[in-house]
Amino acid sequence: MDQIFRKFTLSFVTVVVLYVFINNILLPESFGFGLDSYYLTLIGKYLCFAILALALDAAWGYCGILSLGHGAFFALGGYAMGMYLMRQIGDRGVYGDPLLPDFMVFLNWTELPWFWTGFDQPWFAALMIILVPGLLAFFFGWFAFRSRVSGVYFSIITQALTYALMLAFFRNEMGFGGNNGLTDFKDVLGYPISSERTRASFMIVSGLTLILFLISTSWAMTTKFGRVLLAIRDSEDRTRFLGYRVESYKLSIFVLSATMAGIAGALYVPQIGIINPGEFSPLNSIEIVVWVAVGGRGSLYGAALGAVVVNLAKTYFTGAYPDAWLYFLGSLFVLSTIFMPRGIVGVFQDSLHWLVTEKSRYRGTSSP
Amino acid sequence: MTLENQSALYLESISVSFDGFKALNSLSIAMDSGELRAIIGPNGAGKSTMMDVVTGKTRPSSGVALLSGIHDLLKLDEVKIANLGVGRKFQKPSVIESLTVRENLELAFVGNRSPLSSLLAKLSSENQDELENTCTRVGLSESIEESAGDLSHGQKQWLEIGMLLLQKPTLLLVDEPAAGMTDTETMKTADLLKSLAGSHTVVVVEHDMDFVEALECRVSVLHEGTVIAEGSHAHVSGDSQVIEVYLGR
Repeated sequence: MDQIFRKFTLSFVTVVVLYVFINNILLPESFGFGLDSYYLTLIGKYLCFAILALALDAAWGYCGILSLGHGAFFALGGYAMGMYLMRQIGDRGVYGDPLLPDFMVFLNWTELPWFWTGFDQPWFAALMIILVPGLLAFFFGWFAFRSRVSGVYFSIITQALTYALMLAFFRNEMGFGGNNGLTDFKDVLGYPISSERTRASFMIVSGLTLILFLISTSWAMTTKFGRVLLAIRDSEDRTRFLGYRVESYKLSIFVLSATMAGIAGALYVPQIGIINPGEFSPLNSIEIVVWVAVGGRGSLYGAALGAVVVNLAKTYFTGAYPDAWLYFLGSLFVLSTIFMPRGIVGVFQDSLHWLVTEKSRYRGTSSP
Repeated sequence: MTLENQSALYLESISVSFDGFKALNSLSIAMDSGELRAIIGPNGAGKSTMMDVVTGKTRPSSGVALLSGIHDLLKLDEVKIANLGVGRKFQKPSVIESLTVRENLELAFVGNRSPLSSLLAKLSSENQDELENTCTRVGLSESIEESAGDLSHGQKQWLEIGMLLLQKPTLLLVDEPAAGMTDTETMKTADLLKSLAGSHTVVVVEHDMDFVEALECRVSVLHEGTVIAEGSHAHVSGDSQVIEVYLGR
């Protein structure tokens, strides 16, 4: 039954990607079947959120590591991309400085801070998109898992981590644009950033990345590696006394998860056109948890679907009833936890199971 | 000194205290290789703490703990001790409920335990046969593809014992294996544990005196963190101090 879900999600994303590739990239604009910028950006955004949800689910759903700070890794990946895009502006900024981004000129800085060097190179920026979130997760996880910090304590310190980063990034002296963040991007790899074709390309890359991560992560979960993660989730002591170094497994999946979140952030920023410290806000990280819970914790496809469903609702609600959104989000979390503990995937599987058993009295396997 | 080197497990003057409470008070105990030993004692006598010390979960404030006369257990952590061949069965059956019986056994199967190697790990057909034999030995061959969460309480206990066996331990620590079992299941478990002695050193912690009697082995009685009597079941059950501890003052 999980297979049906997997096929549905993969084919759906593939169809969207192919449609946009054919109508927005291959065929000339005059054909008129291409999606316009608004929808390209919206779909691209949902795809990035789906990657983020998948990343969190790999750690939370499979290994029981509930991170309430995954937004931090997403934002760091986004900032690394933003720094590259800032350097691409060159002398086309308001102040026309060939080297310094506008906000630095505004702060009367005369030199580029050392940590901005190299970001004019796309390969360097790509490396940093993976390394910065990955290394932060490595050091943070190394200390936390070695000291056997787990459960709610781990969740709280991850929340503190993202909050601390938000406060730090708000400061102008940090050199990341303060509360305005990084914006006014002009182009990426030589292409104008807001053209429809560039937007379509980013949407396609986001879709392909989602497909790649879905396939590779769910493959990893079918190996012994995935089963050890489940064992840690279900019974950490049992796993440890079987001779598995629990902290190494936790660290591996946490770093992988943070890296995927960082890549999602890097794909998100050029499509949205801005990255600011608000992305580190604790609320963002909690929203990711809601996506996964609604979609189905422990099912990567469900998590991705949950991100899309909740964000579709968000797009509608914040437009129609802007004040009600947070109440809606809160009730969604409470209700889905009570009435569908296995999320949309669970409901889907149960009803399918019910249909099959009712129709042919076939005694199916009880576990997915 | 020879006892130290000969014993499969050797504990000397082990003391553990939690906030002033002495869970183990200068406990000394030695087990021969291949021996089956029952450890009994009232609640709070220090049985589980002793297991925690041997498996590296708890560090004693003083004492000596040696495995096979060469490995200093007090310098190693849980994972290293487990990989030296010390298997532990918990009091509460702890199997991985979301995996099948087969997957549980595969997880326990001795082999490289690093995250990277686990991505490509596959059991050879020889190992599969061994796994299935062990599954038959613990009476679960018909449930091998079932989810471990669907097993009965007694079956979970057996699955956990099966997992321990595939870990290829030299020393097996078994905490209350008969808890929650029917009488027939209890006797089957006693037979299983007796058959393991010889090739493994087996330490059984138990409350149930009938079960201990059925094990037909040497018994150590723990009370307030120390061994108060040791010998055959008949011997210790006639000991006046043991009777006092068990029946109350």
